[in-house]
Amino acid sequence: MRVVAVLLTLSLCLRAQTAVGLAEAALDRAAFPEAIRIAETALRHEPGNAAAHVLLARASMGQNQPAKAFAVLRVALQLDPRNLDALYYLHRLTSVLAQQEFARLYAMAPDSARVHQLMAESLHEQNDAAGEEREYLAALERNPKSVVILNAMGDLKRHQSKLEEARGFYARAEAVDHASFDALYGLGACAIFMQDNERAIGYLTGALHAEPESIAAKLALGDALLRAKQNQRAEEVLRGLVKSDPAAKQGWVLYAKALRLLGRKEEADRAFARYRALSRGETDEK
Amino acid sequence: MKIAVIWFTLSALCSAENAALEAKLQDGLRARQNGSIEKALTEFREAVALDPGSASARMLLGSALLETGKIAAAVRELDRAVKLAPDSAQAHFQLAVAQQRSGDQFAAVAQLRRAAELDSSNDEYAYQLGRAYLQLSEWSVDRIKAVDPKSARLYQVLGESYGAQGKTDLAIEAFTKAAAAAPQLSGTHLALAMIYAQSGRNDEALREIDREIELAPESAAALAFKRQLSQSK
Repeated sequence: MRVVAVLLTLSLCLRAQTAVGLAEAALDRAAFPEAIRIAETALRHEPGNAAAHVLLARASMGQNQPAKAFAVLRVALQLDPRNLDALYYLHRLTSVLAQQEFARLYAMAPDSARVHQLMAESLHEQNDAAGEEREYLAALERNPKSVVILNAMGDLKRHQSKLEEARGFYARAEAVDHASFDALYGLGACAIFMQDNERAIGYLTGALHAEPESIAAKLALGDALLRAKQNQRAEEVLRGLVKSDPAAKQGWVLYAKALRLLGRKEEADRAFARYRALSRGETDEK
Repeated sequence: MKIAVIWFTLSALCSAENAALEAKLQDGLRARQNGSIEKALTEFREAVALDPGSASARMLLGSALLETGKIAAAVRELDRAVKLAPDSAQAHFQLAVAQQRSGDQFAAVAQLRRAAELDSSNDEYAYQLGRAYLQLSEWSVDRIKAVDPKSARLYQVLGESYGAQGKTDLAIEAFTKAAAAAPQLSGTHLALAMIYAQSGRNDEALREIDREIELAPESAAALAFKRQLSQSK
């Protein structure tokens, strides 16, 4: 009885494997309807076959059926979350769908705040800071209360070290949305650079409240606390940081500094050792 | 999306509902506008209790829950709102926002697509749908990196990205690594052939296309590209 069951399973597996091979060959020939038919037949026999789902999705993409392809890839990833082919084709499909949707947006509202925002983001990718600023300002003209755009302008100015201007944009964003992480973090970062540590601590505490898991906010808050000589609180924040992200090199340095300032030399040495080990690891990788 | 905006969108839906319900919703909105989110939540909950079949009450409650970070409860309420008002683009949109916050990007895309279908002239829905697709695309690449940072698929993604940016040498390097990581994977040599051809290196392009055809003898794309290359020689 067991032998029969094993043989039956083996035969089903082989049948599914053959079907996958046939569907792949049909895909190669760009015979998409045929590939769909073979993959769907294979899935009727073996609904849990992730590879057959991926082939069905690829054939659906070839047939210009993106919604079906999307749904099928979703199932493939539910069956096998580590399936690299499913992830790869999902990446390709969603990249194309995103571009299509943005093209539709452009056709619908070419002078809208969102279109100018997208253009600014694209110029940012191309390292064209002047173009990026021009587009963000155009977007702001159309939507002066957009928190996303105000924060993006704040980031742009902060990276240009124009801290007063940056602060102005972040403050406008924060006035619209008091819980905006980006605004609070940006204000905190500006305050650190302007050596206004007390204000930095206030903003960064708010940022951490908005996003309690943010590594960047913990790091900046720890830094501000150390600068303000609030060593005990800095140690707590930085301990939390290295616990949640043990690979945070900068976090270990600041944590070691906090421990040293608290007179906990042995623990400080161990934290420095972790920092050095992480640095060595990075060097080895390079 | 601010609660007040949702309210205006929903006013039509509300008009047929009873006065007590409407009064509760108005009180909730006023509380919300005055920054008393907890009071607003109480009012919206009472409105739902008055009329469990009111989509607008559930939508306002869901949005307020979302604002207070009660994501799972927000998804539940907004899901009910969608079931009660399946043709409300705003309800689908709000549910998508909550699903995004809960990390369910696939479900959010489905809801955003429905919102965009129901209100195809709404530029915000188009923008958010495009954004959601882009996030899924980035998520996929992150997952590939996490599963196998030296996989052929990751090198292919890199190669495609460099190719799109016109960084030919980097694209060739990435696709060469992809071919080394998975020698039997079809598509990689075709991509290499195309890049070589674009930069006028036709002999290398022909070499790569022959390798592709060895792997996938019936590949329509590879055979067509080989014909094209041979004609241009």
